Amino acid sequence: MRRPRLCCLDLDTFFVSVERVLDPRLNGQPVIVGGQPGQRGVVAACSYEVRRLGVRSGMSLTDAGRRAPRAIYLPARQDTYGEFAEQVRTIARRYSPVVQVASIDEMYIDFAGCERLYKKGEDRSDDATIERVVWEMIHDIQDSLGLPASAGIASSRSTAKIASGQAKPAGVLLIPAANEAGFLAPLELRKLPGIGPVAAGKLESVGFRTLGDIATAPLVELRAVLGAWAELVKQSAQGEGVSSLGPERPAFKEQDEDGAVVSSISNERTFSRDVRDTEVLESMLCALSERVCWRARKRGVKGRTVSLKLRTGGFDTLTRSRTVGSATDAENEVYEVVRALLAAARPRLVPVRLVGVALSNLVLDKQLPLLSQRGELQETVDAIRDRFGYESVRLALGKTGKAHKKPGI
Amino acid sequence: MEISVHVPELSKALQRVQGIVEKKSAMPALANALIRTEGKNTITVVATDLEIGVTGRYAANVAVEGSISLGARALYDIVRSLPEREVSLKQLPNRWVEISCGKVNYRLVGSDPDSFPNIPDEEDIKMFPVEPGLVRDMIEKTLYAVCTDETRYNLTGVFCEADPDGERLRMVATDGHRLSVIERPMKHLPQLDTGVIVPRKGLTEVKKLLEDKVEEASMGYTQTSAIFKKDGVTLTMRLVDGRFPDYNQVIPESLEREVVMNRQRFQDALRRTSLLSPNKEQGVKIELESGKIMLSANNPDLGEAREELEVGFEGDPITIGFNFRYLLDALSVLEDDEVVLSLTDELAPGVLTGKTSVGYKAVIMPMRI
Repeated sequence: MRRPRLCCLDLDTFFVSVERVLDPRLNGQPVIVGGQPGQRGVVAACSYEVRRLGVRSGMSLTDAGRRAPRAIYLPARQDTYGEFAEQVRTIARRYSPVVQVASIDEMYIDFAGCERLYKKGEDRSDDATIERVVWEMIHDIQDSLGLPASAGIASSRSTAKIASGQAKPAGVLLIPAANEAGFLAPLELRKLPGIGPVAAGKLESVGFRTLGDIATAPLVELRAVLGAWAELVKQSAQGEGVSSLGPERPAFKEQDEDGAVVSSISNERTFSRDVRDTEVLESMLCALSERVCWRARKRGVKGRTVSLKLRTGGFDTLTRSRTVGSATDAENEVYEVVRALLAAARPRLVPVRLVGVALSNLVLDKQLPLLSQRGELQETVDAIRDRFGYESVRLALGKTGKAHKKPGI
Repeated sequence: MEISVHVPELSKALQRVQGIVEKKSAMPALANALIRTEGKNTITVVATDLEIGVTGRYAANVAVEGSISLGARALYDIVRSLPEREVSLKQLPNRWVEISCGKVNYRLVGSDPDSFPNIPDEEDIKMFPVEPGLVRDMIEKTLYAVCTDETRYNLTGVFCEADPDGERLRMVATDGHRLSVIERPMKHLPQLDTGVIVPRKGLTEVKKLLEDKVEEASMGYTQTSAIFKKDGVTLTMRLVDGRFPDYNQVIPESLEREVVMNRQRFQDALRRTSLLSPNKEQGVKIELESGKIMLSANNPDLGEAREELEVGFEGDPITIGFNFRYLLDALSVLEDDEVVLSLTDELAPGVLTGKTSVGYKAVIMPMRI
């Protein structure tokens, strides 16, 4: 399996840096972007020179004016910053095809599987290769745009983000897989993205001081403070969590974000006009089964109950379920069940307005396989989709609108 | 047909078919037992689900020859509750059958015996004598690991093959998560060029058959079926038509860590710890370090369990997760007082063996923790 390698690239004092590129006289000067002191508004960015005085992004301009009266105050020019940010992304995409924009000055770049592409004789290890390439990218951004950036590389999003913070200014910090837990353990709670002042306060009041405390705490104790969020926070503190960047974003967030615990996974489709043809319905069910199973595999869960939802042209809605012997995440198995359910639920060829497929009674699939259930084919298909999107590989049966044969996985 | 049979004899005959008859089949004959006379002193009792067939010969007094086909479950329930030692079965017109025993009378509706499916006659197959206890032990040590998921058809039986030098019989079962393999020397080995997959249900019946105190049993194979014989009872089963996976590549050859434990204590500790393992996942965590092994489980809804055992282990520590059910299954078929758990790393299969007994290995894939 490929080792996950996520790089969080963060542009240092981005707006200030852009202003300095446009007006080099600002170099070395205390600069605050956002407006003039006394104006309504907040500090959008500030240089390291004024951070020493206690100025922070998000602080009101009045407050900032009090702390740094002699700084150079500039209005924010969002369009200009946007253009620069786009150029940075263009450079990043030269290094890896999978770039996920998190904000105007922050992005995640997936370097998983790039080791051999970039390997050079002098690299002592795969880690060294990736670290060198990320340095090249940082220098590239500095040389061609004049913008300083920092990067963190780790096997999960949150650890990479924390590492990029530690790497500032203009540095690169790669956390080897074996050291991730050790790197995170001594850090204060607020370093973890998602733990704000309120959560940190609550956690501290019951004795948690560092991320290491969280990583080793029993889940029950964390639940008492953080509720449903506990599992995710604990995972992040252990250096686990989102480890790859599928290009699947908002359009397909559906109802289960990574790590969220939901009781079922379902997809449904309303036809543009009512359908009577069983083959068309089956084709759609195949496509929906494929989608549902792919989402289940991405979340690492399997379902024991398969359900079919059917809405007729007359707006009668019915649901039929079947519980299978062992939990599944395989489309061919789910498809066979919903096909049988459809046949039983629709004795006459009534026109159908909507069909849906759901997988419920979910169990976490933590058991490692001794013999792979679907062989390498399925794993390869999922790996391709992780990188190039769900639509890059599809079962033909679900695509054509006509059922030709059973899916052959 | 009219016969008179010793009640315990008929009861035994009918008990033997209960595991085979299909109660829910669309073909009513599959829920029936066929009783057929053979000469004046013998009846045969036959049942099949089309995959497995059982034919047993039993002593009886035959007054009128013939055959009847009756619901196996009802007939068994009747026969075993009869008060006297002798029962008679008499065929009446329209396939009614009268069962009388002392002052007890039943009339049962039978079916046409001619519609009873044929069990292939395997008279010409070469049979090999086997030691019943040995085969039963081999079945017991593999059957639990057979896959119950019909979608993985090729794993729904126990794979049997002769080892390359032709002196031992090897049996292997796996459900894709764990694997059990046993090898035993056998004087007479059938020719098994590629190995065969014997279905789970069939082997369950073989195991039951061999549980009675018996001295002699025999088995034989064809390309498509396996036959077991004992005391006038013949079990015929269709082999699983599929390719068994290359199991050798998943059996680790050398393992980095070995820990010897008292079987009973390990089993008890696992059972106690498992009480707080998450309901659906059945995971327990095992931490091994110098001098001790720690078992723990964490159920987010209930709490945590932890138990420590002292063991004579020296080596690099390791933390690994297992489905406790898989460990307990393997422990329950081991007879040794001491067992050996061998581990390499947290993502590689662990192996459980007896300390002194040889030839049996349980290979178990870990869980992510």
